[in-house]
Amino acid sequence: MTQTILRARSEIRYCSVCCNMTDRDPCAICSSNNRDKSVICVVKDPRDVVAMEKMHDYRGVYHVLHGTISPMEGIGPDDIRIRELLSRINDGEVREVILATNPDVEGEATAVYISRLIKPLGIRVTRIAHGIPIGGDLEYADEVTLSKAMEGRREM
Amino acid sequence: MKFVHTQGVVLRTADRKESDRLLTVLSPELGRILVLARGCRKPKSKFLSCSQLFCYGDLILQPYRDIYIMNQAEVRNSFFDIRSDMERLSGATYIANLTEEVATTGENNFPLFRLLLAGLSYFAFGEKDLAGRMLIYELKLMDLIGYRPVLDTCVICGNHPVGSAFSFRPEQGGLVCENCRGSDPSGIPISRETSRVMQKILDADIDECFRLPISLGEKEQLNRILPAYIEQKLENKIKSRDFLKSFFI
Repeated sequence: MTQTILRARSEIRYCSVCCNMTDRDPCAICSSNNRDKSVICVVKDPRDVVAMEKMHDYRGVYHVLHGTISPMEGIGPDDIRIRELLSRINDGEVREVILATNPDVEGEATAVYISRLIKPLGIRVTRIAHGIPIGGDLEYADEVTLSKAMEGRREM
Repeated sequence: MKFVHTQGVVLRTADRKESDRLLTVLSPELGRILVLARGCRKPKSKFLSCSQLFCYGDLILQPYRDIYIMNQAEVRNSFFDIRSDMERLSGATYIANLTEEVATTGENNFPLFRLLLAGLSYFAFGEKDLAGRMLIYELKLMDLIGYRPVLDTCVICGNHPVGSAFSFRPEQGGLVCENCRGSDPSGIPISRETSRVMQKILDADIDECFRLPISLGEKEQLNRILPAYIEQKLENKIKSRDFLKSFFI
């Protein structure tokens, strides 16, 4: 057990491309030929990559920020991996950036901040949808969630 | 089982265990309290929206040791637009931090609660001069907690200040007149116009004060005076004010 923990500590590092945690560089997702490198999904932390991978539907790559901008905690734009994301985008090939930070106050503000940096580069920037969770109850949804759900309604 | 009905604004959040969140809430009746929102980070939780930072709502709480457990909650306003840019977020965070610092537990303070709601409304929906509104908030808050700056007499000689160039002394909490200024190198320069603006803000009602205009020069002076005054009186530096510098000071 101790040996395993020590091995994990020595072998786990950050992927030089997406900043996710990995035991080989670049990570399995970044080095895969089956992944669409022109679409980047930006998430807050490595656990979000695991959550997104569970849907088995997304074929693009990721970028892990390792946090969100938080004035409360004194975390500014330079303290998370935004610079790495921009240099990745500047290398070319990227068509779309999907902002999948949490829909909380800091996640939203971080998404808005990143979108303002990327949009002038002429790249499509999208945000994950907001609304009622599947199996959720309308009664418990607040007015903002309901209004976002109405805003993003689709024809059936 | 005893329940407490109150209103509250979430000033700070801290994740606990797998899906709980400990909220620091300002209530007009109970002051600053800690509220545990159980399971609120699950997507289907009925507390999901009311456990967000800056959320204002009606709460039904159950006292438990030194804290409260959230039993029911209904959102009145989530101030959603605060998250629309970093300027609004950093300003709103600062006023929340400042309010948290001065609020005390178990002490009702309706004016402070009203000021917080007015400040958050401005940072969510206000269109112009957020930096100026933040200065107004700072000054008004200091007045509400009993640290109203002395602006009508010199804090050294006690006379009505004459002339046009004064200084402000954070330790004494007021103006130093032109005559006494020579013997006071530690004071922060303040013009007659800036002291008049400060007086107007202090005399205005909470809703009115946020509409008062502040010129660029006055803002520059207030940006030196108010942080020093707050630090002096609260004996603490609010860290999130430094964060604002990168956005709008």
